[in-house]
Amino acid sequence: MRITLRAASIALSASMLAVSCTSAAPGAPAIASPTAPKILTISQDTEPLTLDPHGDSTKFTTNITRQVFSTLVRLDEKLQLQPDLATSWRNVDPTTWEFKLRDGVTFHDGSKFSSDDVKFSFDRILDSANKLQVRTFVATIARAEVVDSLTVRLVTNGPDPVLLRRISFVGFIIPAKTFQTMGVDAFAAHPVGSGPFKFVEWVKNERIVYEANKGYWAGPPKIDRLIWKSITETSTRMAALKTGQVDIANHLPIQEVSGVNGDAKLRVSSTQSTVVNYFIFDTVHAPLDNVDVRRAINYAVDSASILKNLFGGQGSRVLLGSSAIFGIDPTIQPYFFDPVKAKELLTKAGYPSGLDVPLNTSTAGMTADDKSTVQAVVAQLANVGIRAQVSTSDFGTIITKWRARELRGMTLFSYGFSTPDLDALMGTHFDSKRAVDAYKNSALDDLIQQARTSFDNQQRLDLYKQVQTLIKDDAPWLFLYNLDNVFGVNKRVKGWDATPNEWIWVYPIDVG
Amino acid sequence: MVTRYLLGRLVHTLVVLLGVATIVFGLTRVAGDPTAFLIPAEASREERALLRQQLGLDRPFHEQYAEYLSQLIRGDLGISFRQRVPAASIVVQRMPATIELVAASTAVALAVGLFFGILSAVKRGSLWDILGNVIALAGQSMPPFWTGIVAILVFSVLLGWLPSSGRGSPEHLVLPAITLGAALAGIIVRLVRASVLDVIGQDYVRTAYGKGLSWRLTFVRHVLKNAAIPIVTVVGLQLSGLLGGAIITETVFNYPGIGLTALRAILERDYPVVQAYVLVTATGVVALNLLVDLSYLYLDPRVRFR
Repeated sequence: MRITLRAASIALSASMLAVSCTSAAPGAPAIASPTAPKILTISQDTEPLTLDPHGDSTKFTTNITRQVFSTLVRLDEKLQLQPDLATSWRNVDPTTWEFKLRDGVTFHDGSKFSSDDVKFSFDRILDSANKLQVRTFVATIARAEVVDSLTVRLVTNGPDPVLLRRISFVGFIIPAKTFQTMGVDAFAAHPVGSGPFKFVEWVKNERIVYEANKGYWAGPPKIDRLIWKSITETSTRMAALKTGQVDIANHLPIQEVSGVNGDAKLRVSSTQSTVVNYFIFDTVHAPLDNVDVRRAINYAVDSASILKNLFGGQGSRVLLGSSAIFGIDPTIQPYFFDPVKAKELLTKAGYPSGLDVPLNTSTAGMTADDKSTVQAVVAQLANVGIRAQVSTSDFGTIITKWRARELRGMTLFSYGFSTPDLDALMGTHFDSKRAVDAYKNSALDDLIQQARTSFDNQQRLDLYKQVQTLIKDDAPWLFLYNLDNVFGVNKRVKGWDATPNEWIWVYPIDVG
Repeated sequence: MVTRYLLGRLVHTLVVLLGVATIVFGLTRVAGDPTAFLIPAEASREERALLRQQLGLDRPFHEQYAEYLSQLIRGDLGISFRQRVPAASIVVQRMPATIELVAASTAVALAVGLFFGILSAVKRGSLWDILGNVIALAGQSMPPFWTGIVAILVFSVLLGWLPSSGRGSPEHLVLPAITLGAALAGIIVRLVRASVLDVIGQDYVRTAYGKGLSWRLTFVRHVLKNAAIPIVTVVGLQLSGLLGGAIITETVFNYPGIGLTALRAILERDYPVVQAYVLVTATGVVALNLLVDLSYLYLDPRVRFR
C-alpha cells in the first residue's frame, strides 16, 4: 500500500510540476480552466514607506494604497470627480460640506462603514501629534462632524473650492473600531480598508500582494490577485517587463520606446503628464532680479527642440501646467524661441556682452533626464551670451537649499500637481504668504487669494487667466514643458491606459 | 592566554565602535536638514518647524549627541525618520539578504579563484596560467554595474534562463553572485598563484618531498596550509569591501538587501537608518577581522598571543 501511495504522490507532483512549468512561461495564456487565478503584476520605481494610507503622500504609494482604501469622492482617469464612499454632496454654506454616505459598504474584516469612520479618519489626519504626511494636503479642514450614521460634514477654515480634489488624493477612510483595536503598527503592517482589493502580504523591497475583495460594493474586480513590485533601476524594470515578470511598468525611458513597440507581446501607453518641468529664478538677487534678463532667458531657450530631440517629441510646451489641471488656460503659451530678441533684452538690461548665471541641478529626480536637459539649456543660453555656471548636487541638497532660500540663479525643478488644481502650484511657488520661494508680487497675491476662496468656477477661471498673464509677463521661471507619462504594458492587460497624473486604478482591469 | 587576548580585543572593539558611531553621527548632521525632505513640497514653514521639533532636531548639537550615546548604550538605534519604525528592525530585516549575497559571491570567488590560482601556479607558464591571468584581469576590470546589466540582458532577457531581479529561489542568486564575486575572484586568482608559487619554492617543501612524501600529500599538508595565510588575510579585508559593493549589485538586480536600503536612507537623510547600517556593518567587519586573526592560530603554529 505504501508503494502505491508513493507512486500516486510522485505522479501528482510530477503533473503539478508540468502544469506549473507551462503556466510559468512568460506570456503563455492561462490554462482554460475556471479556477486558474488572474494575476496582474505592476512595477513602479519607488517602494512605499508604509502601507498606512495616511503615512505617505507620494502618488506612487497612494497608487498602491488606493486599491485597498477608498475616499469619499474618487478622481477618475479624466481627472473628473466621481462618487465613491459618498453618493452625493452639497455646500450647506461656503465653509461646510455635507456628504451623504453609501449604505451597505463593509470593510475587509466585515465591519460596517458609517460616518463614524469618516470622522475618525479625518480626526486622525488632522491631529498634528500623529505627524502624518498627508495632513498638508487637507490642512484646510477644521473638523469633521457626524450628522447621522450615513451623513457627515466637513468644516473648512475658510472657503475651499478645492476640497473635493484634496480628499480624493489622500482622504482615505479607515475603519475606526478595527484601527483602535489593532493599533497603529499592526494596522500599518496589515491594512484593512473598504476598497476593491484586500491586503495579503508585504515582503519589503520584493513585493506587495493583494487579492480581490469579493464583497466590494460595486462588484468584485476582474483580477484575482494584484502584485506590486518596486524596481528602481530602470534597465532592471524594463527587463522584468520584457520577460513577462511584470505586466505594467512605469517611467519607460525614451530609448526603450521603440524596443517595446517592436515587441509583439508589449505596447507603449502614454499620455500628457500633469508633471511640469521648469527652472525657478532667484528673483531677489542680481542678475535675475532684472525682469529683462529673465525674459531674455525665456527667449533664448528653444524648449520645442529639446522636446523633439531629447524626448522624441513625447511632451508639450506649457506655461504652468497641462490643461488637465483646473485653472490652466492653454491659450497662454510660454515664450517663443527668439535669440535675437533675447540679445536685445540683454543689451537693454546692461549686459551687451552677456553675463554669468549660476545654474543648479540635481543628479536625478526632476525630469526624465536632468543631465541632458541641462546640457541643452546651457548650450542654448551660451548662444546668446549667457554663461551658465552649473553646479550639481543630490536631490536632497537641492530641496534643502530651496527651503532655506539659499538657491541662487536658476534651478531645475518639477511639480507633480497631486491635487490637480492651479492653487496647489500657487501655494508652492507664487503666493508670498505660503510659498517657499521668495518671489513676491502683490497684484498676484490678491488674485490668488480671491481664486482660492471662490466657489464660482467661471470666476476662478477668469482670475487664473489673469494670474497666468501676470506670471508670463513677469517671468519668475524659465517655462519649459510637460513630459508625457510613458508606461510599458503587456498586451494581455485590458482596460487600462496611462493617466495624466500617473494614478493607477486597477478595478476595471482584466487580463488574458 | 587566548582568553586574555580576546578580552583585550573586546575592549579594542568597543573603542573602535564608539569612534565609528561618533563619526557617522557628525557626518550625517553635516549632510543637511532631513525635514526638508520628509514633508511634501506643499507643506508650510510652520509644519516643517513642528516636525523638526518633534524629531528633536532643533536642540543643540551636544544635547543630540548625548541622547544618541545614551540610546546606543541601551542598544536603541533610534526610530527611522521616514518609516516610523525602529531603525534596528529595518537593518536586521534586510541583513539576511545581503549576507546571502555576500556569502554566495565569496563562495563563487573562492571556487574560481582557488581553482585557477592553484592551476596557474602548478602549471606555471602554460596555457592554464595565461587563462588564469585573463580571468584575473577581466574580473578586476569589469565594473559590477556593467557586468550586472549585461548579465541580465544576456541570461534573462535574451536566453530566458534566469530571473532578472528579486529574491526567492536559488536561481535569483546566480547572476548577482557572479556579478559581485567577479572582482574578488580576479584578486584571489592572482594572490593564490603568487602565494602558492612562493611556498612551493621554500626549502621545507623540497625537503619533505625529498624525504619521500608523495607530492599530493606534500601539497596538501605543507603548501596549501602555509599558502592560506596571506589569502585568508586578503579575503578578510576584501569581505568588508564586498559589503559596500553589494549596494551596486543590489540596485541593479533589485535584490532586497541592506545596501539598497542604506543608499535610499542616505539620499533621504534618514539619519537613524544610516547610523544603524554603519554600526551594524562596522560590528560585522570587526568580528570578521577577529575571526581572521584567530584562524592564524590554526594555520601558523609560530603565532602566539601574548
